[in-house]
Amino acid sequence: MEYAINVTGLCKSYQDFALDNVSFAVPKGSIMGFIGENGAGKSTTIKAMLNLIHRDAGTVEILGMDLDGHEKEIKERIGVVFDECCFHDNLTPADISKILGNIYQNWDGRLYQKYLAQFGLDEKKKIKEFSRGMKMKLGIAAALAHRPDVLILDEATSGLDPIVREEILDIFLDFIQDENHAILISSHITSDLDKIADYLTFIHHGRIILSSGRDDLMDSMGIVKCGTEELEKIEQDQIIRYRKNQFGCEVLIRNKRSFAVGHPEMVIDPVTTEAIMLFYSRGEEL
Amino acid sequence: MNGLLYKDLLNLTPTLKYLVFMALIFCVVFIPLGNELPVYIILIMFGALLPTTAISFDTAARWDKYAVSLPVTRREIVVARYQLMVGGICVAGIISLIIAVAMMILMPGEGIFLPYFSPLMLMVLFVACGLLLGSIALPLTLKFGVEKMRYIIMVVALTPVVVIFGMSFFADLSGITPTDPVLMPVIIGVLLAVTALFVYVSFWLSVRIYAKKEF
Repeated sequence: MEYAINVTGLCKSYQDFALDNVSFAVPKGSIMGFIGENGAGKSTTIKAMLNLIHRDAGTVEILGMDLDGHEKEIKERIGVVFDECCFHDNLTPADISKILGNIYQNWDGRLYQKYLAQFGLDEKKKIKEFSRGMKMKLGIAAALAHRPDVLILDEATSGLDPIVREEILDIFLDFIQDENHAILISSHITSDLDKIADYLTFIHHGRIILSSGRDDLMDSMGIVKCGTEELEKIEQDQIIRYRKNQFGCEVLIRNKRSFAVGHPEMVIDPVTTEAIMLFYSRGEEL
Repeated sequence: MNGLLYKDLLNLTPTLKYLVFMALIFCVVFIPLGNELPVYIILIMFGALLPTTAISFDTAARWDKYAVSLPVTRREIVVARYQLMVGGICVAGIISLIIAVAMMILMPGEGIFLPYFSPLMLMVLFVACGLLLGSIALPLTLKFGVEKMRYIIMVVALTPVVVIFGMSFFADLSGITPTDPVLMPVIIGVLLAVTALFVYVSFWLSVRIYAKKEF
């Protein structure tokens, strides 16, 4: 399998937080959802992948090139959207095109204008007059207009209404039709990832908890609701995490097929991305 | 890299209009009094501190985080800052030259410097002072940020005044006439050499400071 992004052994320490040996890979032609609670290390990982912060250890390969040796070439071929608009308030989208057109070799002004029109953004309007959603859309238009091969999106859909989010998710799905393209998208909005993500990487307290194909996870994992005494009857290797509530327990099961064979009396509910995230971050290990 | 410079020029356009207005007021107030010094100082200070103003806009927009994700190296980002500084000071120098020539023609014998220095010498002197000021201000701004720099700048901004008055003080002390046709080129030469060294060291420091920054 060819990888668009390959992060290996990424470490970065702060006084009160550390990225601990973060590794994951995004195959070409796929969308990877990067999930985790606030402060889990999603943005720090993305910053380390872009050399915005200095790594203590680890390597980052994008499009087969090492970031340290080919930073400029890599950045020419990726599009980045952060969780906030980084454009100056007194500029206009037309100004942004002139600026980025003098930075990116492959800047396509017409494509940029097409995205602006699609997003309903006035080229001549000052950015300070834009809503948060409009600013995010401008960031996405700017990230796509140099025809990148890889998109790295840090909470890019936050602050957008469901209709615009849907529109943008469609653009991401269009983008991924080229099998040489790939997207890494960190998001709190797990329903978005349920719609588009092929792979999920879950980070918790600076460590990667799981990184796998989303369909594989959904096919294998399941949620079982049971009483406390029934919990003890479940094989330990089947229990990933469990959560107690006033009615009993909810258990995240590793392999629902083999579990169903051993416990035909128990009902297994399907998992969602949000459920996996909640179990890993708030659930207990047996 | 041109895009970075273009971004600064777009951002600074409203500020530049305001600065031109201020400079005109200074011209109207001080030149008829035969005192062109405040006009030169304000022009050179505006030019030298343009990158600091640009950095304050960038900080407000959190531009640097985005800039580092673009296909430009951190060194190129610093180079664009110095290009802006040198460009701003050169424009200020040319305006100073125009004012000096106009004064010489319209008000012969008037002015603090003009009776002693040629307009071209004056321009070189002020451009050198501006470059010294900018070279001190830029690495400090990159290191400490614009907020802390506001206080430091009050001290740093005195650089051109200190240099000019320092030079005239030592000239008085040693009994040397700075306008001496033999000595003048030497003074200007030394000043230019010191300025070039300052700019080089300043750029070297700025590149290192910016390379260590995290966004």
